[in-house]
Amino acid sequence: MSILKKSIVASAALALPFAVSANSKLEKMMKDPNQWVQQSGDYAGHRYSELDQINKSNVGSLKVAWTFSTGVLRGHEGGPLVIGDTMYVHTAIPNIVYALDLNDNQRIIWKYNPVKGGKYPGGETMDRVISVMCCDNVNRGVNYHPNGTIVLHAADTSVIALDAKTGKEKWITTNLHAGTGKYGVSASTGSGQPFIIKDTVGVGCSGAEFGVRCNWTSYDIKSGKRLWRAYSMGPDKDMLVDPNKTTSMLKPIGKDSSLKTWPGDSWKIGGGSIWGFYGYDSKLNTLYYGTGNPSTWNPVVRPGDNKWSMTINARNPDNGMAKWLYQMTPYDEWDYDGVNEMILVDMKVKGKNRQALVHFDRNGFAYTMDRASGELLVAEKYDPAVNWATHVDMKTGRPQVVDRYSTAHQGEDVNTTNICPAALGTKDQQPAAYDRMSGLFMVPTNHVCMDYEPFKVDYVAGNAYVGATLSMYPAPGGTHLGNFIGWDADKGKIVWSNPEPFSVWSGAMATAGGITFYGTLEGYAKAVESKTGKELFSFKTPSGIIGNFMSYTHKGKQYVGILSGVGGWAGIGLAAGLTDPTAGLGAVGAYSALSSHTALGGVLTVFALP
Amino acid sequence: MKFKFNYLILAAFLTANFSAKAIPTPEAVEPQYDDDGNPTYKVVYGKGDRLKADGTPLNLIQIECQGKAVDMVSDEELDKCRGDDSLVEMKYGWMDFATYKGWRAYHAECHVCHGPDAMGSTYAPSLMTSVQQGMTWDAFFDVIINGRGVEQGAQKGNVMPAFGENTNVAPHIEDMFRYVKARADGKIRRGVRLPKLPKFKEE
Repeated sequence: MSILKKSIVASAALALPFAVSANSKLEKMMKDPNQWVQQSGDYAGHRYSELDQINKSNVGSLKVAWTFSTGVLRGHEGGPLVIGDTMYVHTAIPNIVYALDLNDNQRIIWKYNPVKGGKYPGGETMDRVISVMCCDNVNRGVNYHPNGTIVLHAADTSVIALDAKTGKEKWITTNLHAGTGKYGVSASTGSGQPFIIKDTVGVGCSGAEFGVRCNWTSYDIKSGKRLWRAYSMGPDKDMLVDPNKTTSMLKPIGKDSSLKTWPGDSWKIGGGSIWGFYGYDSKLNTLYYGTGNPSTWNPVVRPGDNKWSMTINARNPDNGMAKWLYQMTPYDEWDYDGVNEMILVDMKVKGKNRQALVHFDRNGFAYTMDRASGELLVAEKYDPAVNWATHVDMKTGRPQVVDRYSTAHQGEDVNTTNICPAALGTKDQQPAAYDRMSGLFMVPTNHVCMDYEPFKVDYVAGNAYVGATLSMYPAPGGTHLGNFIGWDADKGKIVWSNPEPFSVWSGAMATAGGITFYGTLEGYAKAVESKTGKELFSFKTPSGIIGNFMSYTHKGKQYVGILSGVGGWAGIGLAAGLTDPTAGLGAVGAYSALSSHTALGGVLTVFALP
Repeated sequence: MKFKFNYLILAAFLTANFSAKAIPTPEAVEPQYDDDGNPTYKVVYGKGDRLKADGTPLNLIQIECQGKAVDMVSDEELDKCRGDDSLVEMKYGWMDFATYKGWRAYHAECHVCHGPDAMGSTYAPSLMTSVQQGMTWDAFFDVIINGRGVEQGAQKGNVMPAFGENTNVAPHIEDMFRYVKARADGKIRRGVRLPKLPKFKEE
């Protein structure tokens, strides 16, 4: 044990001298708009391209340049990377990675499939892994390390380092072993991107619907050795928090901040999964990520704040220690995971220059925080339909919950109705973009409400642990299920809002051409003017879009790429539509089933000007 | 905290069921409405079934088997009814407790893949459609208990896990079939506005 510890410390120390150069190299690559080197484009999560060949005056004549089928039918989240003249495309389970030669008509340079003989590297069968993945078997993309490594976080939680040139495995570490049945770690799966910082790669885990206790784990990029692991809940030493130094709402969190907020040892199956899009500030040397819902969906069995589920984490990536934490939804009663992306923007907030962090939470509030101190600056609803809380108390940071929409207040076995937003959240994982030109945030949103009835379920290791009935329908007064909005994070106000018939489940991308791209569940790739939201371009891709837009140049020409492939949670909730056509809630057809618009199929579509 | 909740539910339950002297019949139970005028549906579950004043279970939906209320027939007769699927015959407006339990059990596990209201997702089939297209009780039971891997004819990349040892599912398969069958037969509409309630104001 002590030898192991020593070697971890040693490898961390060894990594340090190289760390700075690798980091700056990657950040330099991020600044080059000709490439798209990380899932979010850059560490700040702006999803902004400085390219302007395609702009608001010519985007209307955008044409398809080429397409590529991934050969996989499940939902395709995330997006491709472009490093130099090579594009890397990933798929849903079985998590194939393709390297495409952009110089040679997208010829496949190599193809990597982690499943061999029906088994993932961690030893689990593909069947088993599929069966413990809630909400479709998505993967949110690979990432790149400048030492020539493509990292894949496979569904069985294996972290796989591939040689970017050859696709050969450099090392494989199985992070949590999907489905081993061990108390507390069973049925963890991997869907989130692997996140590169310096010479490390960090991964979260999925499975809050399966009673796991999730964590962030950091690995050495060269050897695959584990450096540190921070659990979302449990004893202080498990969470890597310092009771005196780690703060929340600017105050030290104190001893046993998590244990005190769970009955008995229920924190051991407490959920708190991490699978969204993350942020990193190299100047502050801070990693930012959000934790998901506490297990189960039945709040009655876990009275307390359930810390630190539903929390924005700011951590030192070298040792994992938490700098500050902010819990957005204490004692979740609605499945409002706090995993959504962290967007880091230096901006004026209430007249003062701030190093801000902007986060659009599932719970329907958009938070602007000071990312250095963890101070809460703004918390406003970004969909007027949100009703479960009246507002966030800026002194305590706590949402003021309305009893009528509190599934805990109403109690077990009572159907609490007309809660907005639905468990899908006002926004799920689909990342927003920051338009550096207008200073607005481009946010894909859901506009769906729900009835929710919590009930008692047994925890069965390796099985879903949900415990609530759920039915969803459009928010009152409208006939649409989504909006694409422009958001002012200083004032906390919607500037413009485009209604969409279905939830907008794709990641947005803003560009220096004054336009923003997003996709719809029916499959439309759209471009709007960033300042006004005016639609300038629309093209129906082969399948519904839940992937994220990206842009790059090749031989001096700008391209825009997007993965289609309907699925994800959107594919579960909306496949059959949300309401009976006869239910009389509104115009028939407005809620018609997604299945009458689009079908499965992973396809990359790349656009360019003619 | 927990005790308090149970106590409140118990109190509500006693008020609702025992303060009225008369044996409640389905017709006598008025639905409750929320602020938006939608009927809400309140059933106490997991702490003993609702009972009539005479101690027999109260069926919220009148399920009939060979002309009798389902809780009044013998197991033998019940088996015959199961054979001809009449177990889910019900009068609009009322759902029996077993079907209700099936709906809930469905939401303990199944809906994360098979979607709300048993209508399927982009990758898992609609169970409602499966039953409409002739999936039998035996097949339903078999697939839930044993699962179905990629080798057993499921679409490539699709897997049905085995739930035979899952205590949230295995004991409730019959109830779940009732629920799914009721959906397939158009006896239950979508969502929690569960039963069709033509008698009451709904829209």
